[in-house]
Amino acid sequence: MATIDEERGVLVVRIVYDGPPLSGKTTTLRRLARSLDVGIHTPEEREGRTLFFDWVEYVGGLFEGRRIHCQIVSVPGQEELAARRRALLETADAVVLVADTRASALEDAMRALDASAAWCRAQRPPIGMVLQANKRDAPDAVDRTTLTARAGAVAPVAVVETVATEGDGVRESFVLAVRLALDRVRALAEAGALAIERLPVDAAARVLEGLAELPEGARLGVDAYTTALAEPARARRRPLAVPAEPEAEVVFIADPHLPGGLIWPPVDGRTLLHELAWLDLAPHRRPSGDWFADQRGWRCRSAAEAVFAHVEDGRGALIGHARRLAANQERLSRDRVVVLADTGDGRHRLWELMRVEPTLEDRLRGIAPDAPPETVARLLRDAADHLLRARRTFEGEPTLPCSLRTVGGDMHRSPVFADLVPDGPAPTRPEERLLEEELGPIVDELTRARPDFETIRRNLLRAGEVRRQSVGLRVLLRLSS
Amino acid sequence: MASEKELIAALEKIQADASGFIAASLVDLDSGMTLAVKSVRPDFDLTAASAYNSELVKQKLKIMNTLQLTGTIEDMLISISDQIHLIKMINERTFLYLAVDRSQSNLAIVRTAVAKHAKELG
Repeated sequence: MATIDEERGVLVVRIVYDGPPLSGKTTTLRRLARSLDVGIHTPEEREGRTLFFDWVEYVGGLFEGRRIHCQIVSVPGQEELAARRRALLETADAVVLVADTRASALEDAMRALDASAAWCRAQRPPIGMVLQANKRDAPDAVDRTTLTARAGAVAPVAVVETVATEGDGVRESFVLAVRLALDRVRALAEAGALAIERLPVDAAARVLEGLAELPEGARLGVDAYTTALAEPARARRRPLAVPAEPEAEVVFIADPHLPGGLIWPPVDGRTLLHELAWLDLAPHRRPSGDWFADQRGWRCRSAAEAVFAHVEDGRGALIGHARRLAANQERLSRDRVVVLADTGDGRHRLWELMRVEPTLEDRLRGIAPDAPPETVARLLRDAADHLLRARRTFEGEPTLPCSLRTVGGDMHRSPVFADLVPDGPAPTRPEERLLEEELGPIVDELTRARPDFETIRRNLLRAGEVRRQSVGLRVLLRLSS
Repeated sequence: MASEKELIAALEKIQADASGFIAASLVDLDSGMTLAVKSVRPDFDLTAASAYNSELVKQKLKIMNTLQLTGTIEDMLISISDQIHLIKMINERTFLYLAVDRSQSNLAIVRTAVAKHAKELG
């Protein structure tokens, strides 16, 4: 996977952290990220276990005058995720095998080393390996001589002792792995096999997309961990993210270096893209063909057809969309960006991104279980009023969809639309129907969850006696009776 | 090799002894990657400086090779109008890179501080 990206002036290498389950891969990467003063991206975890990968990006060092851009990736160790692990290992330029070196875990560690080494040694040029002998602070850690002898009998590997929880040795083993990767790069260059191409900035998102396509939870058998890599290369899947297939579309890149004219608003938009660039949003394709992501406090979407062969056509669409947002600025939540992003195949795709802010639904579902009944009643009443105000505000050009999920949760200001702006106008529901459909499920939940619901209802009743004309209270009372 | 914590502790000792200390790093010569860093100036890009100085050392080694010089590099000094940069070879694979403010220090102080603690970086 080592690639020279001429445009960015970097050599991109991937260091893959492999190892049996619970050997300390994620801990190692977290410590390494802290040491390198960079962030770590973990797309998904289950009960503290890595499901796809941990991902760290670091630019440091120099190779033939080019900065070295390291993609540092750990594999999921669980047996049932062996397909993902294999896919990641197939893209490695160097492998750090993290091994629990306590006596009780040594056999597992050696089996894992055997399996990984079989794969790494079979590549041309071979992939360098570092055995990161972890948990060296454990009282039953195997002594270094035995460990080196056992590992040496399997394959030529460099052994670095670590205590990942403390960070000891973690950086050293990483730098050693980079060295090994550079050795391989030199060999590839000499053989004329070093790839030179522009790589996507959002490599993690592309890899995630590739892994997500693999059969989920596919068990490769009891001995999956050790046999997965021993399978011949003919079973290789298509490359994950890089290099992209010629016809493949690059998924959204939050590139703060996009040329002017492809970002709206011009200054704030670029500033927000700087923030977004670090978040590694990973949009997925919906059955409709639209691209969509709702992650890390941001939401983005690109309509299936919002792709343009000519940048000027795309710019026309961007200007049209930007005008719509600008004209509705008062009705929309803050921090929105529209970009025309390169798809990697000469085309451009139009994206709208927005910072997610709490909605009315979040406010109502976030009611504390011990909130006093009068507070709950007041919140329901205010929410109903706010929803009706939003319904009136959202009418216009275009009419925006009004629901608990699309109305901003700050009821002290004019209602704002807190979702991505749809392509066409939304239908408007009659007031009472809107309230019934939106607040009905909330009231139902409160009825079930709150033993004091009758007190809440009495509070609503009292308010209704004062504000007899209130549509919101009338509907709430109907729903709560 | 010393642990990262020990390396940073050694760099901190150099920081304490070298007045005008700006930044220091222990650098892997082959890759230009830093093994430990210490900086008091957030605007000083120590990662980049370390990387490019590794190239400097490699070029000097090439020059020595071309000239058929059989000695080894002990250190390299770069005097800038307002800074002193010192590269001290720790072993064949790693070097110490140190930058100090010239107005608050001098070459003798820098060399003494480095000589005193360089062994702890090996």
